[in-house]
Amino acid sequence: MTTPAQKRFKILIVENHPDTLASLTLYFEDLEHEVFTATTLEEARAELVKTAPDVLLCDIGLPDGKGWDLLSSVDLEKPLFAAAMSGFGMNADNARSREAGFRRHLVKPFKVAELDKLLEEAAAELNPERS
Amino acid sequence: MNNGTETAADFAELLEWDRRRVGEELHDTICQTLSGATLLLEVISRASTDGKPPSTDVLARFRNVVERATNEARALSRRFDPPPFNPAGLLGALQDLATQVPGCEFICEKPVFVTQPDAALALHRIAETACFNYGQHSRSSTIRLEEQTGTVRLIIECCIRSGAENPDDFRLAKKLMEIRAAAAGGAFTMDEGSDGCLVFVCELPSQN
Repeated sequence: MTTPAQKRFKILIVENHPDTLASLTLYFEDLEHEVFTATTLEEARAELVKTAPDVLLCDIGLPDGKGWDLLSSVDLEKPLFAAAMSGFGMNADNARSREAGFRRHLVKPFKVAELDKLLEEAAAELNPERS
Repeated sequence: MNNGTETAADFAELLEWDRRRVGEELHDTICQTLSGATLLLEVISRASTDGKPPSTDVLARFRNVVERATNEARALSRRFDPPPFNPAGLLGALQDLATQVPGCEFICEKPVFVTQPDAALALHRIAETACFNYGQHSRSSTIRLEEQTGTVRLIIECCIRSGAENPDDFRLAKKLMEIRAAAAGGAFTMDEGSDGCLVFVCELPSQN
C-alpha cells in the first residue's frame, strides 16, 4: 500500500499501552517505515538520542512522567516532526502540547486518516522538495 | 477531622475524588485497550480496501485485544461491585487483586476466614484503595492477611517508585482507608518502614 508520503521515515513511538503500541507499529511498518518503540520517558530519551528519528509519536500519560517533558529534556541533532497523543483533547491539552514542542495533538481513538495526514505533514516539513 | 461543615466538606471531597478515580481507571484500562482495537480495525479495513485480505495473525491479534477489553471490563466490574463474600471469599478476592497490580504479591500463611461479609468487604476495599493508589506506583508491593489472638490483620506494604508520588491522591486514599476501617469497627495505621516503603495496617476484631 502506498501513501502520498512516500519517504521512508524513522519513526519513534512512545506508548506504554501494549495494544496501542502494537497497532501503531503494525500500521507504520505496513507502510514500510522503520519503527522504534519506547514505553517510558526514560526509554524515550535514550531512543531519541540513539536512533535520531524523523517522526515522533508520543503518548502524554507515561508511567514515569508526562510526554510533554520529553522534547525539552534532550538535545536533538536533526529536525524532528513530533506529535503528541492522549485520551484527552481539551484546548488546554492541545496548547500544552504545542508549548512542549509538539506539532500536533492526536486524541485517542484516532483514525488511520489522521496518521496519514501526520505523515504527509512530516514529509512536507522534513523534505519540502519532495512534498 | 472536625465535626460539622468541615466533616461534610471532607466527605464531599472524598466522594468526588473516588468518582474521579473510577474515571481514571476506565481511561487507563478499557478505554486504552479499545483505542488499540479501533486502530487495529482501521488498519484491517485499510488493507481490505486496498485489496489485501487481513492476515490470520492480524485477525487473531484483533480478537485478543477485544478479549482483553472484555476481561478488563469484567475485572473492573468485580472490583467496584464484588459479589457478597463467603468466609473464604476474601482470600480469593485479595489474591485476585494482587494479580491486577504489577509487582504485587499476596501472602497468607494460614487460611483466614472472615465470616462477616461487611468486615470482609471493608478489608477488600482497603486493600483495593492501597493497591490502586499506592501499589500501582510501586516497584513492589505485598498484601498480607493474618489472624492472631482474636484480630484479623491486613498488612499492605508498598515501595513507591521515586518520582511517582501523588500527594493529593495519597492523602485522600489514606483518609478513605481510615474511614473504612473505623466504619468496620477496626483500626488503621500508616507508617514508613526502614527501607522507605509505606506499610498500611488494618486490624479488625476476629468474628470467628
